[in-house]
Amino acid sequence: MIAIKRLKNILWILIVAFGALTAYLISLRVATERNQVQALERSIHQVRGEIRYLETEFEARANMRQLEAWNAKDYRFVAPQATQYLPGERALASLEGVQRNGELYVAPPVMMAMAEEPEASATATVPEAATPAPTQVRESETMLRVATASATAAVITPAKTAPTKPKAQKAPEKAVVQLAEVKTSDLKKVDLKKAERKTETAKDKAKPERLAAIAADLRKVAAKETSVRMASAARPAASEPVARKQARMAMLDSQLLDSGTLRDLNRKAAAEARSRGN
Amino acid sequence: MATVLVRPAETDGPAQRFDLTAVAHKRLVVLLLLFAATTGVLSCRMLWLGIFGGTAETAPSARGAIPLRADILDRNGEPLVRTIDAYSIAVRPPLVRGDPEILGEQLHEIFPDTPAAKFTKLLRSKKRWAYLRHRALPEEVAAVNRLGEVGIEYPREKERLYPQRTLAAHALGFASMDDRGRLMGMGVERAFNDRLIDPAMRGNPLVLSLDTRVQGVMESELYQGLSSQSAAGAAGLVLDANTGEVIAMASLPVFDPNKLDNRTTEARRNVIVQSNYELGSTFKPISIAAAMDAGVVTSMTKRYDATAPIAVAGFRIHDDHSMGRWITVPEILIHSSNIGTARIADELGVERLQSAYRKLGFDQRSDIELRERAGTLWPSDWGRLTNMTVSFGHGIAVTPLHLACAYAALVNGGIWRPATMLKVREDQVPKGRRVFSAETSARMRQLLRLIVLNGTGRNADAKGYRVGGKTGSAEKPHQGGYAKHSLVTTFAAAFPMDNPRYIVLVMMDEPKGNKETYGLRQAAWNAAPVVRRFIERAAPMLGVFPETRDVDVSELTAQLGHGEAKD
Repeated sequence: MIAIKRLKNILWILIVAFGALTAYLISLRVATERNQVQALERSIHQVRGEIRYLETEFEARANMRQLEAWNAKDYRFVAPQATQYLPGERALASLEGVQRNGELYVAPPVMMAMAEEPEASATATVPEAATPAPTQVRESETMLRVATASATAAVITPAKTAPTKPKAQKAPEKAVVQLAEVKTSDLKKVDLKKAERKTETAKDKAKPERLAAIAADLRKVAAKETSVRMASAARPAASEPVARKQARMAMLDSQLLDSGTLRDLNRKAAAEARSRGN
Repeated sequence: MATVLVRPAETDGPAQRFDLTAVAHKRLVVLLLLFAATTGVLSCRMLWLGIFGGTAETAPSARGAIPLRADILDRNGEPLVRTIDAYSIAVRPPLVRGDPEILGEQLHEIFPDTPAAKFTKLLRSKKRWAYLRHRALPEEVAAVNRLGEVGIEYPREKERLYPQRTLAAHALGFASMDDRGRLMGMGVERAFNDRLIDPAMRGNPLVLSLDTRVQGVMESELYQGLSSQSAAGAAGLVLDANTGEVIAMASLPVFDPNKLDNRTTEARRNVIVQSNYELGSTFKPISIAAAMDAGVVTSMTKRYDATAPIAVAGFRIHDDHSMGRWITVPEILIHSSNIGTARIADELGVERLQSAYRKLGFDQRSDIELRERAGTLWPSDWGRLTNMTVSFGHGIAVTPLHLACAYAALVNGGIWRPATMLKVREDQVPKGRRVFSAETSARMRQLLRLIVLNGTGRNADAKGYRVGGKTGSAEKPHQGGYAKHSLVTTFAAAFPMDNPRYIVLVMMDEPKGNKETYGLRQAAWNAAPVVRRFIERAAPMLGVFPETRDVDVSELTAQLGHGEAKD
């Protein structure tokens, strides 16, 4: 009995001791944790101080006076002029770079590609681009219209049911396919619409008067097609791949490096130099 | 045999013994209490520390981040003044091992602006400790460190640094103590000294209304104008017309608040608030607006006699370029006619012109926070002649800031507001006081735009930015009279005129004129082009973009006759 009582006492002592120890350990943990947090805070403050110092140093080195001096010496940027601001999205959309009539106008580059053209038998002579860029643009625009016309004819031909003149029936092969960065000409839109209309009417088992109208239209198309021929004859056509390649190269050269382009480049450079000199 | 019986002495042994135990008990209890109390006190203290100790300990380290003096930022948060731990280089002469001569030469190579002899002298001195250099750059410290001298040390000190150097130096200023411990200095640093060192506030930077970029543009354009016209000085001010915030405040010549020395004392004058000038023709729009408000000028078609000089009290008021005919109000402003303005002022009378000028604060110091602001020269004897001359800006002297505030009231709808150096939140804009009616203000906007389109301000017309303004040239007072050849030319402008947002004021002090200005020394040729170039560069930064629409002045152009514009 007494033994149990003593054991109880010891047990109590042990429990209390264990509790105290746990409490102590926990407080020790807390203290360590707190110390770490403090150390971290201290280092944060230190780093903040360093950032502040570096920021200030950066600010001091890149002060307005210094930037301006650098600009005056090396970069020579100037504030944008009033004319360089656009009033809105509409103006941005209609922005076309340099004005066409301006002194420094150089036509935008026209990219072209050619497809095979077996029946074209014109000589592979390259027409010398005597006139500078504007002429080239005009030329390519007419080419584009012509090409569209022939394409329209090609669309119509398969849907055609009524007999028409053999001249129109002959589906023209794609003579020249031109990809151009030029604005879509009005003619092209008109032609496309017409073509759609015509296809529809043709599907509707066309009535005679309509057919007559179509025939008239097709006659016009055919007339245009002949002009395609004529134009493509003027273009560097090629029976041999080598000659065609040469022609293409020559065309690229004439676009990039003909005397007119060079003169334009030089003039631009001179103007820039002048404005810098001021 | 006799037996002697001695009564045994009464022994109180057991009682004594009992007492001793009691005493021992008592003592033990006292001791126990003592231990208990000590333990209690200690545990209480521990508890206290455990609960509150943590926060008490972390507080000082957090406080370490708060600068001793608050930073100053511009309206976009760009730092203008900061307190940093700067390096300085010091020497303990007794510890120096190397040869002072050689060390002096080496130090001179690193710091070319200090002579080698001075370094040698410091290295040889009998002092225990001396500064070699304040505010050294880190790479300079590294270079000195590479010399390997043990006697040189690099203490870090709290320094006030102005990263933009001379930029806005007059507005920012500096604070210092004189010998008797009084606060000296100038600018924002002095005016807000208490706020900057207040422990409760110094954690938050002070945000000014200045815009660093605009200030930079203003100073650079002023400097170009100053050097091309070999002027003695120049000043520029940009004011928000609707809130009174100072966006840029520049005064040339400049000084560097990082390096204050006695040589820069003259340059420390902030012309915008510290100097008052007779600002000349720039007063004309104000006088005419007052007359319009008072109902004296009822119509823009009303004509005034400008055929001959007016003779009043033995003084003749004449025009530099006489029109020789009767002219309308738009013509008076476009040709800057003294005679016309004087006639209107005469009709307006002393009382009403005075009250208008008083409402604009021309009779007292400006309301800006800066401490160095100057008073005005208000005519002591305001008679009929004074009334006439004052109407075109002669015989009254105010600071450029006064004029800018008046122009703000002139164009913003007629409300005068005090100028401030602090950024104003939208809901904190001061109510101000009404000086002109809204209709008068609208008419003045047209007239000021007209002056720039057709009159003396043509050189200030930044295309697309709808600038309006008025030129003014005045002779500087000199030995009791006027110095005919030392002019102060001013251009006070506002833009965009369809809804004025900013007032720009540029002043050139004694411009000499050059080839570009055809040798002319008038505001139209000196100050106006500076305003144009400034607006072209700074307006997009201020959120004003060029537009094709403009103020409709067609009804006023109809009133114009033909004739040459003058200043």
